[in-house]
Amino acid sequence: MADYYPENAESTDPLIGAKLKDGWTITSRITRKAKQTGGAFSYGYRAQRGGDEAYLKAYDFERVFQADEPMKELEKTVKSFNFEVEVLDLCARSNMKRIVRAIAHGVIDNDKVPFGKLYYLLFELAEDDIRGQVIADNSGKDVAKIAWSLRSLHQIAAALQQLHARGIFHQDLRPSNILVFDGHKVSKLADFGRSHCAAMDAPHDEARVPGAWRYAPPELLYDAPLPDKKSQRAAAELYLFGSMIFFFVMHVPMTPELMTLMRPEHRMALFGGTNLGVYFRDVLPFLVDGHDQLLRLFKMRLTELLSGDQNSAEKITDLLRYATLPDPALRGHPSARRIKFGNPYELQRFVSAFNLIAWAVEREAVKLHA
Amino acid sequence: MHEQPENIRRKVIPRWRKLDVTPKEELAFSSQKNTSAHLQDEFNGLLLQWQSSASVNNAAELLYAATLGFDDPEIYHAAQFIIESRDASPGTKRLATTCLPAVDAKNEDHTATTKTSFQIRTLKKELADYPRNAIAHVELARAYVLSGQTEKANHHIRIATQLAPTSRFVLRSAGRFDVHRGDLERSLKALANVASRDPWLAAAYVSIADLGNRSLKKIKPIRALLDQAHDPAQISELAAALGTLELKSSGLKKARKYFQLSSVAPNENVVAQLYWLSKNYGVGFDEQLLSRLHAYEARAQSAASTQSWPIAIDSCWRWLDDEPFSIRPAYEGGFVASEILHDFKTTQEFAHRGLISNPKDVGLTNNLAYSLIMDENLYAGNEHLQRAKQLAGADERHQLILQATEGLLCYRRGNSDEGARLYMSAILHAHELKAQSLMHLAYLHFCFEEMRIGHAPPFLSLDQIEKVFTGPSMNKTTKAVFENMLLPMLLARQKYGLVDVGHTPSAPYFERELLSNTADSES
Repeated sequence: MADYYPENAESTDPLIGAKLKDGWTITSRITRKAKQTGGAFSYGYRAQRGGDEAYLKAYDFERVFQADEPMKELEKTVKSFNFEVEVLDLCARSNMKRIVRAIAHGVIDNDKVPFGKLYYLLFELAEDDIRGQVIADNSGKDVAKIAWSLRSLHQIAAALQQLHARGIFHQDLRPSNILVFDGHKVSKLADFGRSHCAAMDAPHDEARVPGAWRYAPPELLYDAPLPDKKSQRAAAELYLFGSMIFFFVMHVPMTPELMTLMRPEHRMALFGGTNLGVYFRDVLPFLVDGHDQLLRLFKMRLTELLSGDQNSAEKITDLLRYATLPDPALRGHPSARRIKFGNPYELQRFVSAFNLIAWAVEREAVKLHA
Repeated sequence: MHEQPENIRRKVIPRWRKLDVTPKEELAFSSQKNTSAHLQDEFNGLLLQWQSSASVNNAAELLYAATLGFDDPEIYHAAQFIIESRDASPGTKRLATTCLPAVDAKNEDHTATTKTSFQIRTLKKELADYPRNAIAHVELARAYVLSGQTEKANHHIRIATQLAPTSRFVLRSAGRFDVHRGDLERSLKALANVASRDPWLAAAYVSIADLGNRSLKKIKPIRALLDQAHDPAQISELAAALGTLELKSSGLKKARKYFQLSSVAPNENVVAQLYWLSKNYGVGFDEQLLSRLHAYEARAQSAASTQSWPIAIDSCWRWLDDEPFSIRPAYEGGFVASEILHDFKTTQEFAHRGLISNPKDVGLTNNLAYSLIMDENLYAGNEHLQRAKQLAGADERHQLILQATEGLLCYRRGNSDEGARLYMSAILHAHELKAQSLMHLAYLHFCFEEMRIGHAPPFLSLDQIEKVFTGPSMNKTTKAVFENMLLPMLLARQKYGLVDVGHTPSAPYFERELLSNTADSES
């Protein structure tokens, strides 16, 4: 079988130069290696139309043939494509500005790809994902960097809140899915391949861990979700958001750091169940202990980055704690939890808090670097 | 005299260690299924991504997945790549360091003092920020126990059990604490509800109930746990606890099957139990088990039985380091150091260490007083002796030991008449209590003091003494004390023909008792 999506040599890629609808042309490849999303694999390309540029996500049907059950795989990939298209459509109709805008989608005839059809999604082209800004920036302006991070977190929280209001949960929030635009001033959410939408079924709705396992909240890793699925989705989303707060400061997501503090026998427990013992409830005290250690490290590092601003560091650490408590039944902002019939996992308090703190730290950064 | 460690009826009471040295079997789960296919796919995908394109981002993503418990040589390559990369952030580098194989830490010297007060301060500060951490409450309670503040420890143990009412680590720690505090009811109540679900909690429940002579609830589901576990290490302690219970109620015949099951993959607590069983019931013991991690208790006793005294002392130190709040290693180590090796400085160290966690223990206070007097520090020795007398109350056994120590003090102060009276009173007292080994020990000390000041040994001739204390029916430990304490003096006396100045106090009971012992040995 021909290699339709060669992994290394861009010059031999058959899709380069392919014409899309509305006058778009594929010009170069962005992602070197296949990226798994939504149970389907995809490749990233740059597309151009006149002076405009866009990001093209091409679905990889090559892998369908390599699967044990190709027809099932094909169905899953097509369903994933359709699901993502519909979710993006819903976001666009709801005028969600913090979500990456889908310019177009479609299927074109292309005899160089399997089945002769190229399934693609076309998005506005981002400058980078946040990893480039968070990790690679060695300008040394720590307060300015934190100010930028807090503004980005405010925008992410706002985006998630908008999504939740429409019954959509992203479920795969991680650094590579947060893109930056407009001179790094705007952060937007991308990749809805693993999301949940109350209005439609997704092929991954029944998955134990809908997003990436390495970022997942502990209750999902240990197979002890909350009994109410909706609550669990909200609790997990809040944890993923908290994990991003942690990432912006520590440059590592919460779950891997937490796991390094666990004893190996407790990490191994991830790999299955037990016929004896209490399991998640038994592991939970160790998770709480590890979590507390991480919070102390986080606060210390943040205070250092904020040039000794204890007050802001404490506030942000508290927000991180509310969002990432290992016990999902205790997670959430205390103000939200106090409301008797409210949603303990709602993000409004986080949006407001990050807006205020970002504003204060931005002012501080301006003063320092003036 | 130094209090002789009692031959206790040993139970498999759970150990209470710091979390970072708790053996993995005690924290692991009984069975494991295969890795989730989705998780394995994710890891394989990231591995492929890293192999085809070695970038910091790909390496970092691989390491994130690796922390979930994967093991692959590529993980080390990725970690090394990140550590050496200029682009990787310090946080990612720190994570990469944790993914590399750990360098074995050197074993801490047993004499290293535990910085308990520092630990208490740190943990208190941590709990002030995050008070819902059950593990930190347990660790703080342990630090309080080590510093002798049992009531403060009790407060934190209670909080921990409320925060994590089903946690194995928390409940077993609470159980051991309640044994230390002498309040078994609370632990029994907490453990009764969860014992039928977890073999480790069941083992603690059975042993604590056995210790307190309480009846067990739900014994059938607890026994059924033995058939459910796939890993013999998970049920070893439970089998030993059930065996010990059966031993008490039905005898060795019925208990044997449980002990056989426990000996398949025993932890150190079970090894100590099996050793105790072999010494008291003549059951065979596999000496190789002594090499198990943390098997200090069994090693100490084995070394003592083979008269390898320095090894016994070293093992007692390690046992005390492992269980600093336990009295037994302090007793046993101190006894060997003082009565066999005459190393009174070491005896004082053992007593001091034991008294930190058990400040009101009469036996340890007496041992400290005895070793100070033997070390010619009469003033301090007397102070501790007076404290021990205050603490002893009406306990007859303690009173007779304290009488003997007071007799020693009188001898060392030059008042041999009063010393002899006190020793004889202690001997008579021990005879009335039918505490034969204590009686022998008091007599040996009495002889030692008498001979030290140039008198003949009381009651018996030199030959008779040698015959009595080297006879086959003599307790092994007493025999060892005689050989190391009195025999060199007897031999010197025989060799140089030192003249007895004569001292024949009347103690008919004791004389008859000793001579009957000689007759037994001769017959």
